[in-house]
Amino acid sequence: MMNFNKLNDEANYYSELSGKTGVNSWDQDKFQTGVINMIQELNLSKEQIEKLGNLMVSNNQELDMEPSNNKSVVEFEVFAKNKVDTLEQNISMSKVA
Amino acid sequence: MFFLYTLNFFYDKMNVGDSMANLDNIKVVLDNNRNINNEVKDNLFELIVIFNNKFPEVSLDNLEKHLRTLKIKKTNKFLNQDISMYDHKNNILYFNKDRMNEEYDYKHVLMFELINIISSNSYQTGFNADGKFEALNTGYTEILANFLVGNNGEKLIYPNEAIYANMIGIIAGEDKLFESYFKNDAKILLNALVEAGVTL
Repeated sequence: MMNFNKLNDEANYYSELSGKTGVNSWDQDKFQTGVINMIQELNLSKEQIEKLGNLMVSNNQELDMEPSNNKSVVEFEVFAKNKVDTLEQNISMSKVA
Repeated sequence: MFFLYTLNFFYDKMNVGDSMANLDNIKVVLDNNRNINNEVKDNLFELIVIFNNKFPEVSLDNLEKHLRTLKIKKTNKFLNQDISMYDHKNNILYFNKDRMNEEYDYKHVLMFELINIISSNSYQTGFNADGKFEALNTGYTEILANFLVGNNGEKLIYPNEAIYANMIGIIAGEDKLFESYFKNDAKILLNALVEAGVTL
């Protein structure tokens, strides 16, 4: 289970390594998966989910890194759909009530 | 794309410190600092005005204090490969000689370091005490620098860190990130994350 401290330690590790080597050494795909795991149980709004989705990087080339195909983006899409479906279900149930 | 989301709330008033320092005082202090050449002084002051216009509620007291004795040095003895570094303990701003021919936007780099100086209470910059939030703090500084002056260079600086900070801002609240940063208090951010349901 990913918590904030673990995610933060991971970010610090990548950032420090990148600084030492002069080469961007982030495993952006793994990091994004970590973020998704950390937010699984949060009550996020549709707006928050959309904003987070827009930040997910599908190809590391956008960040001047080697090209990639980040699977975490697909993971996020699944997460987002489930969350939004639940939100909408809750809204319609509260209308019925 | 990465830098837009965290900044929506900035136009609401938020007092993050009672400031005695004003731009006139800062101009005098900067002019009297013999460690910095006139061209750099002009560049710094221009950026300070930009910062103050956008964030008038942020105290400039730390900045005024640091500008009295701030030194700026170019060195090729960097501990890492970054283009610049603010040593808040000794109040020295370093530029990495070995990287200065690369295509950075130096206005952006100077603004990035100016924000570090503004947010420094001599023990830490922003909410980063003892390196615990190094990446997050760096990312948030980069978001602020990009908001204030953009980045017209070929080189991105700390894009991954900025994305990380943006994500945390969305989860915890952009206002909490801002307040935590300029009040040098990580607890504000951590409490906001807990309130959002994040397991620390």
